[in-house]
Amino acid sequence: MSMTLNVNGTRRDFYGDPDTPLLWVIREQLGLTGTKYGCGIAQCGACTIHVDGVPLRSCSAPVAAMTGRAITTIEGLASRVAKAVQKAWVDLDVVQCGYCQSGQIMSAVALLEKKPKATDEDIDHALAGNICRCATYQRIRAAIHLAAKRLASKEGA
Amino acid sequence: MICEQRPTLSRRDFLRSSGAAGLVLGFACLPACRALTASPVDGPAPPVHAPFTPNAFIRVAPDNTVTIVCKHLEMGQGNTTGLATLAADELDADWSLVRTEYAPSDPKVYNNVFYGEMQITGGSTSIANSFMQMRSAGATARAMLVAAAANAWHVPAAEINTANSVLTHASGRRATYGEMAAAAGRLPVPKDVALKQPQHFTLIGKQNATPRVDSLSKCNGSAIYTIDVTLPGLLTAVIAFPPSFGAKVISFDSAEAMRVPGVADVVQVPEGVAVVGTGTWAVLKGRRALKVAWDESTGASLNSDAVLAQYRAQAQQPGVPFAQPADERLDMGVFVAAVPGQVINRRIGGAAEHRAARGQPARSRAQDPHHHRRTAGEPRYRRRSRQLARAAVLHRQARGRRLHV
Repeated sequence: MSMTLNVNGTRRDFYGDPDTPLLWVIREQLGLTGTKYGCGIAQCGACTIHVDGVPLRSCSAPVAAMTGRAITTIEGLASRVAKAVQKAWVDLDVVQCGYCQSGQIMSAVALLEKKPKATDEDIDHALAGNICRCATYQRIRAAIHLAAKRLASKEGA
Repeated sequence: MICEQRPTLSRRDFLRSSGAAGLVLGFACLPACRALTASPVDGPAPPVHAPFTPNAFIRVAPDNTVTIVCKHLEMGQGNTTGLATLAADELDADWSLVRTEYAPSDPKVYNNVFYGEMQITGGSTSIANSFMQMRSAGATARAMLVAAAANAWHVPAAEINTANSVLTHASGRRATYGEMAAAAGRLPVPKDVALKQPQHFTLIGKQNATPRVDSLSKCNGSAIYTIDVTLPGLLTAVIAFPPSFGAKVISFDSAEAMRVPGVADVVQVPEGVAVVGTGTWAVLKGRRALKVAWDESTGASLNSDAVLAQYRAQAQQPGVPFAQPADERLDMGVFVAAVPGQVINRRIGGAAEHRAARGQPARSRAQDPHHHRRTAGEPRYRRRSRQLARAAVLHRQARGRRLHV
């Protein structure tokens, strides 16, 4: 099967098995390795990307379902919200091994795009599917609050 | 155990270069730790115009950046930042100008000095074994920069101050480390350079003084992990592991697996049966199509239900006295939670962990890069093709760990 994908605003041709999970197309064919393989069964969140702005586990999404949809990976984050989230992550030294953090950030950005004043409960709900073996959860939560605070002020503009 | 004695660095341990890279400095080991290491002995100094080699810990570039070479593997514990902190503090380097890079696999130079000639990261020893080594590297580099400035300015070295990668003198003279790097590289390497007293630390032990050096790359997707490494012609392998520890392959039927587009080969390996191909999805599909007959008669009889029953029985027993405070007895059950935390590594590191579980040495772990290089060349992995060897070894490494082989 051949098709055209829209990844990070660029058209990319794909030819291959339509069942191929988007994760492997992104990582192995497009070379965008910031999206990680964790469990392969949509249970850990390491492979989270945005499809039309909505977080999705790319390890379990067949590429054939992506026709006409806008795919964004960690490498393609560019919005004001995304920049604020990434900056908060760095400023609070959220990461440890970092392997899950692309997915954490993708989920956090999607949350703040939808709910600029996310509560702890909102965060817990939105990021419940993103597992961190280093257990950076407290700093993740703090970073989301910090990003939200900055976005609400001029600092995040 | 950290020894606070002043190190005496042997000439042989130094290596320097006066090329365009500026000041390059490094050494292998400290006398305080020498009893634990193989055989570092004094010898002739390396040639003054030695070419740049990576067995160094510090480079000061003409652009005033300081590059600190980290011999340990970063697994999220922050040792890259920590090792750089040790050297940067003694060097009085401007943290914003500090860069880090990972050492190549060379256990003669970059060994863990607690463990002999092994470049291993483990046992919470990264900072402890490097504490004097990295500080001495920084202090010695600083002493050479100061000496170079003293020569250039015709003032006593003791009158020169250093801070934030700048040398200053009361006369108003001022130079960055970068400006003095080439001159410093032409000087002899001093011995017995004094280290700071702890009260003079500016970075070591200071809250928020040294933000993680690996934060940004891990927040924008640019950090390269083992699973992200590509090599020309690299194939991917997944292994059909036995259903129980110690079970053996009786036979396998690869016909259907080989029909999956992208599957290049199906081969028996010591751990089970490997499906090799041009992409992960292809080999996962191939493994699903693979038929393996296992002999489980030699396998361990342990299973999840039996383990859980064992834990339940254990939980009924009194705990092990862990500590006995003056006023109350504290009992703590000693159940270490490391194993559940390892889940994400298990599938790929599976065979090695199975072996470790059986009390045999694990061959492929992600904490000793030199070990990986050796095992990559083992005949049993080389017998089919070099591509398979590489694919198998790379794919067996843990995913959440950075590794430069």
